Amino acid sequence: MHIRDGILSPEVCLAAGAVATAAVGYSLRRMRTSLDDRAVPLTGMMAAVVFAGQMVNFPLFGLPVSGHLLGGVLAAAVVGPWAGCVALSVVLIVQSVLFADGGLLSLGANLLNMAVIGCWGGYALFATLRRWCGSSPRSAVLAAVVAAYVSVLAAAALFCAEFALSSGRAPFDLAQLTWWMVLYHALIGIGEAAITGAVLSFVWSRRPELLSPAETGTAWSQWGRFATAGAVAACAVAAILSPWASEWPDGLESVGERLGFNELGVDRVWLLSDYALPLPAGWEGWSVSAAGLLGTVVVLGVGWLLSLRLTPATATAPTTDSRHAG
Amino acid sequence: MPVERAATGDNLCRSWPAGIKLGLAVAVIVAAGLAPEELWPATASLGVFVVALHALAGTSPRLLLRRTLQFLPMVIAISFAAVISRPDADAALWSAALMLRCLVAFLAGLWLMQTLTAAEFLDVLSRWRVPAALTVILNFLLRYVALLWEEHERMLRAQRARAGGPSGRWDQWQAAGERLGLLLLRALDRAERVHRAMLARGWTGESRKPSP
Amino acid sequence: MSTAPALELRDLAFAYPGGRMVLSQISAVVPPQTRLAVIGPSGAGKSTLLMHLNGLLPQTPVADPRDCTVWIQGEPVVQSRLRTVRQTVGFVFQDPDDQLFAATVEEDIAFGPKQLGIPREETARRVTACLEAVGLPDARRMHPAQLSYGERKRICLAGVLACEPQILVLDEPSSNLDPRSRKQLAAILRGLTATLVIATHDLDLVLDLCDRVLLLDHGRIQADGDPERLLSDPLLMDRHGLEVPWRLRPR
Repeated sequence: MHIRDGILSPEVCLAAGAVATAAVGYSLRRMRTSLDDRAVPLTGMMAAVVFAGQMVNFPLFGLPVSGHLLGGVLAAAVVGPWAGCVALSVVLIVQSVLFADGGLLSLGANLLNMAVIGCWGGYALFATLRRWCGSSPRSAVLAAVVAAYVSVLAAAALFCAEFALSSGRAPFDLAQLTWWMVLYHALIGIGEAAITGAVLSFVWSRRPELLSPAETGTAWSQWGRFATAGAVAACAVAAILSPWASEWPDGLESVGERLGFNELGVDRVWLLSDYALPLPAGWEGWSVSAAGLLGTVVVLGVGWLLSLRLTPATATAPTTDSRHAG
Repeated sequence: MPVERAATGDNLCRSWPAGIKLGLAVAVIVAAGLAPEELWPATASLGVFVVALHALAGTSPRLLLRRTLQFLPMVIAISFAAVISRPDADAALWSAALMLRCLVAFLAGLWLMQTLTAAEFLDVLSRWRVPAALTVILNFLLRYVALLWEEHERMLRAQRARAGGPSGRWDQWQAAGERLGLLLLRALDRAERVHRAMLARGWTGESRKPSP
Repeated sequence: MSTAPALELRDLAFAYPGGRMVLSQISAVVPPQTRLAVIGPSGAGKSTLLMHLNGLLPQTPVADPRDCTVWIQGEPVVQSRLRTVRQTVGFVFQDPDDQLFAATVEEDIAFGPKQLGIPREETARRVTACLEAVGLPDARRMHPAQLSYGERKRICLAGVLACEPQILVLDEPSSNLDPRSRKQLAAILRGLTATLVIATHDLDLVLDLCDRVLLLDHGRIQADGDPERLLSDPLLMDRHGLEVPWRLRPR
């Protein structure tokens, strides 16, 4: 999911970087308020866990490659959205600069898509879903699983938007390209959801006190969370429906003009067109939506299976830990 | 650690100032990103320049080849998708230019990896007034990742010793989840202890820069 | 002030939340420059006691000096004095990886002085001096992973010494050390003028280094006195799950 250098234009990278910098700076401040003098060691250790965790091989069924954790929702569910965002950011920075894994210029976009959307958005979804599903550990696992999946799709949508803004004048069909990307991310999303669920269900079965207690007033306000969750979910839905979005080219064009991108002269960016491949028109749209829908079903199923690990006995343990104050 | 960093052999670029190294790598990437498709010879020369930098840095050709091969699939996938969507000469040219751009940028990033040490990077960050908390957290990551990975390897060996034979994908998967879960729990416990040790040495939550 | 005991415990008691009584009726007066060993079987409460000495426990130290049960250099360990207490009492933890958290040795040793607001030059001087004191002058730029376990333990000690504490508390300093590292550590500790409080299972270290022993079991002080006298009492040792060290056994 790491965007490499050269795929996004320098202007888009800079813009994404500016937004990401502001968001990470804000997270740094909020993290200190909610975690006090524990913030630095806890976040630092979480960053180390995410970094190491990203190297653990999860064998994929039926495929010779292995899946890997990204860790946005995992981090946010354990240490809160602010510390989680900072932890993920630090991981991405180290990976890109010191390990040449992920781009230098596109670091801003990667931070935005994975650390900010992944942690803020992922946590917002997680917390909102938990409110709706009840506070039992099993519903927490389900909420985390769905949040992980949706946040990956939302990141995909953001990437597609970044890519569209970068390559507006490119001589290819953006619609079809973006559906490839969304499909790819949908698969990654299933993996991420499953791994997040597996790890969290293990962690919460061993230490139920790590489940977040009811959020207090000093944490992210309920409305703020709900709004963010809604926005992230909307991005995910947009990703799935993107091949049909015909009003979008106008929106993108005007955005492009206002921002000074003079390359967006393409007026039929998103409409379906004839292809050389002998497939029925519009098939990509359906396949992406089907992938999205199927993915959601699979993810819910996996989440339910994983939550079975949390028996009623563990569900009654007291939640006294104040470690998590998102 | 599966991801190697250290440069072996004579690295003539090591002694360059950290800011120069970072700036040079970013400049190459920006240049590659801004160059239009028609000017692909310029991008190609930039690529040659970066390979020359690698030679100066003493990068082993095997490392270069291996990392490039690992990196190519993703970029090829995007280019391929672009070409598929409109299989004509324009799209092909665009895709080729994309691949070239990405390759040059990747090589520049790899060169930075070979020549910039972690200590230099942290130094640059504090000089650029990055919040001290962020650099301390970065410090933590660099300090504890190796330890955590060692613990992970120990757990893996213990699990394999218990398994007694090849286990199915589902078991492997569950085992991986358990390992990661245990790693997380142990890391959290350690964070608690480290926090105590920091408190004992006067930590109040504010990362201080040394007074002049 | 110079006649005040380095450390005074006045009927200290402690229970973890959840009710289990870990320490009770702990009273002792420790003059300056004493080398005190705290011994006892596992679970006796040694580490818990030590963590009271620099205010790490209880998690919120008492606000009212009248309720205080731990006194450092004649002053109570209360919330408002925590900073001074932690400057006066240096704590070396058992696991060096819990304490050595910076990416390089130099940065880690400089951490304490930095927190104290010590100027850069003075910090650098202390780092050099402490590295010399623990016998690792060339380790400045090394990453902790490049050091052996014993070396990491010594760097932790250096990091604490850099704060120039007057009282040094060590939790199992010689655990997991090979004989050579153990000897090196004992030599370093012997050269210090600070008051030492050492929780340890290593009774030979106690005999080598300490001039007073506190035997803890079931959260109470079971004996307090001269090391040779106490450690050579087979009934006392046996009653509290310990053994008379070889060199004190009758031939």
